[in-house]
Amino acid sequence: MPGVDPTAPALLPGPKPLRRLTNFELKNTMWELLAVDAPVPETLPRDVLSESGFSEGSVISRLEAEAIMDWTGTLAQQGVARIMASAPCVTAPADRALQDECVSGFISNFGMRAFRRPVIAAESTEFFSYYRDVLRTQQSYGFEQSIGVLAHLMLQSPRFLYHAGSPIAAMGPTSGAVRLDAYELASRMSYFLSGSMPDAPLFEAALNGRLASTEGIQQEARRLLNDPQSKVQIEEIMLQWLGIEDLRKKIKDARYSFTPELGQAMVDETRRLVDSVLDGEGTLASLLLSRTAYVDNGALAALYGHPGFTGNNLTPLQLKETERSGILTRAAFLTSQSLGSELNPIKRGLAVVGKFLCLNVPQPPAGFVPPDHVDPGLSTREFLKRHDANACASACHAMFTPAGFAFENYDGVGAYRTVDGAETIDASASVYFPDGTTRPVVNALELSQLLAADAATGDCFADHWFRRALRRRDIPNDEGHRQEVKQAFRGATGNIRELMVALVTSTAFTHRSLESAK
Amino acid sequence: MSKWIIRRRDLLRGMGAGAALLPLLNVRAARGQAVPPKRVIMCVFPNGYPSGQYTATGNNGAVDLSTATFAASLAPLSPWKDQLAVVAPVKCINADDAEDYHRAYSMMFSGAAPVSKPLGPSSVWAPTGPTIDQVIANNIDLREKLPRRTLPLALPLGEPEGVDGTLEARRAFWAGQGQPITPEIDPYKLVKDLFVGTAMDDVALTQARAGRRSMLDFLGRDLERFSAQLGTEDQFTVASHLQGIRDLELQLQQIGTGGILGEPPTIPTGLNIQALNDTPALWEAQRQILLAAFRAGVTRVATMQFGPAWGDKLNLPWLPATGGRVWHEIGHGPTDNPQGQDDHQTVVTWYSQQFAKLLEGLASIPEPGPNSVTMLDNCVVVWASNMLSGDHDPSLPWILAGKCGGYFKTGQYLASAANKPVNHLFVDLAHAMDVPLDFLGNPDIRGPMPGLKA
Repeated sequence: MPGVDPTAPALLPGPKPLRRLTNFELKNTMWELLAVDAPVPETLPRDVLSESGFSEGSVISRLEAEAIMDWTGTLAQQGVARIMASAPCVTAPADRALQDECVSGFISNFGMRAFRRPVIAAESTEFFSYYRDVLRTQQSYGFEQSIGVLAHLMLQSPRFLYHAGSPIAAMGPTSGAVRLDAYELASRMSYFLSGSMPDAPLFEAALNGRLASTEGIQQEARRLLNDPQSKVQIEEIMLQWLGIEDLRKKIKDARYSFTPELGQAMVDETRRLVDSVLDGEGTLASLLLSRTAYVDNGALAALYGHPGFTGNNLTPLQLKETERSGILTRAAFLTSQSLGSELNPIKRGLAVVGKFLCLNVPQPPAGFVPPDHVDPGLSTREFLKRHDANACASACHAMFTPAGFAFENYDGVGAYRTVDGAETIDASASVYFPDGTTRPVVNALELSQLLAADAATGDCFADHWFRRALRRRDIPNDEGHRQEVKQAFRGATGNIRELMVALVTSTAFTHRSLESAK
Repeated sequence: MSKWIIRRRDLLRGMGAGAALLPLLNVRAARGQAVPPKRVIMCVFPNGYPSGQYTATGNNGAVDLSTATFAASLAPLSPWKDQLAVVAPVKCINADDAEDYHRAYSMMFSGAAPVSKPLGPSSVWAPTGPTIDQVIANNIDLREKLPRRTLPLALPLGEPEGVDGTLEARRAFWAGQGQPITPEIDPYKLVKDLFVGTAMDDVALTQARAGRRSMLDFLGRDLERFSAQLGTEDQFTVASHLQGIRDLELQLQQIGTGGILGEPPTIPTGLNIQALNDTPALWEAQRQILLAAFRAGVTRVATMQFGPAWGDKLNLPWLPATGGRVWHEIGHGPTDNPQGQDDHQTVVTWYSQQFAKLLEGLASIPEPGPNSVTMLDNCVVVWASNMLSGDHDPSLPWILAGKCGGYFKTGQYLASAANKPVNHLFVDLAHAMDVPLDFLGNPDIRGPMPGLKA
């Protein structure tokens, strides 16, 4: 990479930990590979939160191995047409030697796609021996069925289930850093940018050496980012970054008449907000400031103050200028960042400083007991003012609770309000910034403006996405690489897709250290 | 086949388990067929007891429980006093601050120093060694092949979100570093796996089993080859996968030879394994399965997890008195909430009732032997939490039930155990199960807990 020497000690890229495909990635990959639209089974535990701050697939133990075995078996049957398309022969040749040749061809072709790289000779030999074993022990199986069983096995191989490195690279040097081989890089790009395996043009770019240059990577990245599949992936990353939950399961106080359908509508609306931002300016600022909503649920329209609106996914609704702005004032974010106990400023304030400003809030001290409800007769603000007068709490809470007060105009499900208990809402707040300044805002609308205009927000956003791209926690050596990415994001005036392009061209992404290798 | 045995043995030695007497194990069981097998169940729930309720009043030192009175949360266990050893709160030596006891959920049965993993403003702990259930199960596996090394069960764990969304918060039992054991919730799947499908006369079925066996065998070897190219950390991930494949192979072999399977329990239809409301029915189904599995010889080791480490996304709708409040917040009461103590008591009393039902089930199965009348006499059932009270009271409450073939001195409150490292209790569990273990996790803490052995 021009300008960066990955062997310079301070810039030595970090490790690329072995991760299994998330359930989302598994589903997408099966679609790409077998043309089968199959949700992962309920028996496969859902993705878990990793130290990158984003989801990862749960570690495979007995239960997962069994669920994957059953699921891939069913898919290998459903997708048999697509599987057989990888075999170089259409029907079983009568001649045994030609049959064997066809199976070897199948292993190469199907393996190339399933493992996202060429199959090496040793692997090919092993899989072929398994095929022979199937033929010997399962005499009732025909040619096609034997290939189906072979595909079933390959779909359970760690080479399919994990984001693994190249088997050739494993034989190379054992210290320092190494550039990912073209196929490993193509996979890493594709799963980050599209949430799925590389498509045919990307494989071709890897084969033809076009991913060896920054320009080549940029070109392929921009192509992938213009594909609709990429939007779904960006939605997923956004939801995880914002801490937006599966709101169908959210527990809210009975007075809100909160239903699973409303919760789902909120999440859907956020996804469409992300889409509309990507279709428009594509910037972080527009995500924070857009008042355009796509609402196809009456209860949600009513919550936004448009009770008569009978829109759908295609009709934009302009939300009220005095009440709403972008993502921070939308129902899904506000509902996810709320507690059952209505002490919302704490959680919402923490979300703002953690997700938009990347302030490191110290952990509560030993013996800390969080308040779990508001005393009757007090507004939330008044209650928290008394709580935070506590010297122990004030030191930390000064960093985040004040920012949370900006959201006092929104109740526990994000409906706009002007009174809390007997008191008129005061949504004025002061926000602590990483540069040490404290800045006043009158409400969440102004807070959104402030965040949209400040470079600290973009830098923080880039930090989160850097972790997501690398799927690991930070290491000290990341700093130089991260600065480059932030620079590029600023240069692109906060364009989210350009941030992703900068991420996949970063040396931190194209290289990995060998420290974790054997 | 022999290769795995070596692997397991290596595993046991390599992971901080001191098992110097390995070849001499279980002489008694080998000689006398009349001795019923011993079994262990580890139950864990988070957030501890309501303040002041983990006591047996009237005790000084090691005291006869028959003269003691339990507080409300433990009252359901009163009929079982003669079968209980209530251990005064012990310490997790790796935990310093109070929040650590939430984090300790993942390693409270391993005793090894954890690795801290940052997570936004918080952090979780990942264990670096196997938990005691796994050590015991692996040792049993050396002497005797059972269809399941362990039977890991859990109630619905809530949504995988926030800090409770991490594996470290969602898994209390681990085969080793990076190798969480995923518990099973679905009773229908368990019944199918454990008790159904023995029609082995069918040629096609036999052939299908042979096919699956060969596939598992290949996958195991494939994972080994794959693992050889990886660094140490990544190898842990693959080790878990490999163990999963081996466990499936083991089950297939045992069932395939028709070695087991008694009467399957009857499970009511229509239970939703994700629905918190179905929790009591799911627990009852799992209890029946556990008892039937023990009776049929499916396994000798079971675990039961009653929630994730924090419980901050989990409410308890089947207990209406808790008013839909979140379990974590309930655990913290009553500091800010006058209702808190009552809510916490409601929850833990329910848990204690379930524990009592489990003991009742074990005691209903006759099992004659030199030291036993019922299965409970040959069991040890652990009932532990990751903190004494939900306000992060930094110590671990452990109740043991059953004499495990005469090993444990029950009917006592063991006050002398207070503040001693929990690691000693692992050694007792191992010895009770005839596993020759001197320490687990920390070689500086050796030997059993004084006063616990009969």
